[in-house]
Amino acid sequence: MTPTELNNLPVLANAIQLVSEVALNVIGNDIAAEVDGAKVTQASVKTLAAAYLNQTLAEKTNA
Amino acid sequence: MLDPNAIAAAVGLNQKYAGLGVSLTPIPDTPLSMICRECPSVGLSTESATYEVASTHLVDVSRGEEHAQLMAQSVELASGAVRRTLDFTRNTVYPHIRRVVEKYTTAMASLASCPLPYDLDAQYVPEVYRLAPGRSFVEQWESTPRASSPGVQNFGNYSPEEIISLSKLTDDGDFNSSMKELLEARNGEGVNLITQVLDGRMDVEKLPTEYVLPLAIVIKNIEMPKEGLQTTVASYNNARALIANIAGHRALGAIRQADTAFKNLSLYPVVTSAKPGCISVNGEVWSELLEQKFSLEMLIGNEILGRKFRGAQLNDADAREAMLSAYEGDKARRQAAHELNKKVAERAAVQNVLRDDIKCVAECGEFTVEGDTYDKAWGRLRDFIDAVYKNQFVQHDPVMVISAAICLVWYGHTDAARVVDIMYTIEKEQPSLPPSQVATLATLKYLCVWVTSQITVSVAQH
Repeated sequence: MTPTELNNLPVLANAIQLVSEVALNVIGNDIAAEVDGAKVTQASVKTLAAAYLNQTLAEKTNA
Repeated sequence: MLDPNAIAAAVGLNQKYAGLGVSLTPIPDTPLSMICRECPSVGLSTESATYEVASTHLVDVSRGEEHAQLMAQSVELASGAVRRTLDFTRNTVYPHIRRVVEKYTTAMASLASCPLPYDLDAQYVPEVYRLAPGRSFVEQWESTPRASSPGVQNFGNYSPEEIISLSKLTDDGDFNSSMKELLEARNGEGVNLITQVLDGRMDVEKLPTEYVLPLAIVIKNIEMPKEGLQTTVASYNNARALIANIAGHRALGAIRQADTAFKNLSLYPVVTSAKPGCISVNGEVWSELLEQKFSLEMLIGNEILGRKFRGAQLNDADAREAMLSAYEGDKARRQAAHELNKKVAERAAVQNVLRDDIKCVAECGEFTVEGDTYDKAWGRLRDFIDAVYKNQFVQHDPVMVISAAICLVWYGHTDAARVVDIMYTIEKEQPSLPPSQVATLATLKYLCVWVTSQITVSVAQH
């Protein structure tokens, strides 16, 4: 791993965990708990969070 | 404790951003920076670190209570804030947007399509004129000269049922049912007009051509004067013969004219529609031309070129090409003009519905921004609309413009604009998703925007 990878990994992992836990907390109470017919689970919400985090980071990087 | 699944989900992103030379640093005093402080990657050397080693290390160093507590607190706080924003957007902002968008849709409904500026008036000879019994019937006048009109004549009053019954020529079922259909069409127009000729209210010369054959047959069939009619049998029969002669000759003329037009492919009828942009054609000839690969586009192309159709054009490739080019050129010009009008109308409609909305809210005294007045709110809105439509070449989604304007003017003190924007973007990208799933994805994206706002992104300079 490069120094940048070592530095960024905890930031990204914590960001994904924070987003996922808040989302599950909100989803559990208020909104649909499935996407494209698949239940949003502890594991899949992190994949979705990573995908959206990629978008928002890309927007910020390009800005 | 940091979840190994979160680390696994981060690996791909991490490789991508590190590869781009992007360093990510939590902004001090944000929830993310406090959580990250409890699981540093310090202590690992880059030589020995693999993702597996790094993952194990991060899980180990974050086992303490501090990480769990900070994570739980942040989740609690953020969940409350997100719920409030989503509730407010769903219960207040969206109904407001929907109300204004509905008014916009109504205002724009008339501009939905670009109508063809031409109408086709295909004049078909009624079927009874083409069927053998009708054609044979009128042949009796072929060898007799056409009589002069005797003016209106009174043969008595006939009911619609009597007219239908008297219009039967033979036992030919097809002919008789076609005749009935013709006379009863357009609310019994044929029956009504023939009745007027029979009771002396209309001159036979004024009867529309399509009804002269039925009249000739009816007249032939009323052999005896109606009871009470003041006339002699001789003068009654003389009047019958004259009216039948005129109607018969007119019917014969119509049949001959249709035959000649069909034979010569004469497209245009003698009597044409006076409606602007309406092209009248002989129906039978038109149907035949369509069989021979002529088309409506070519017909319109001819009109645009100021020409009339000639049979020779059918086999002339250059003529066909010229007709189609004229049509396409005209269509493109009309489409461009329509688009321009639509853009102008779109902006006007957006502006009008939003101004009406402000007026309505001002009259109800329900401004959500403290100290707002109609003038202040309208000023902000007008500036926004001017900025959006500054570049006339950029295409805007009016629903998004209305949503953004409403969020800006009424709900600028909340994060509603961001939620609405995220939802519209997801709806556009995945139009088949049900609203509840759009809400799920929008929540995730909204949270990612929030967490990204807690990260400094620096790109290494090469």
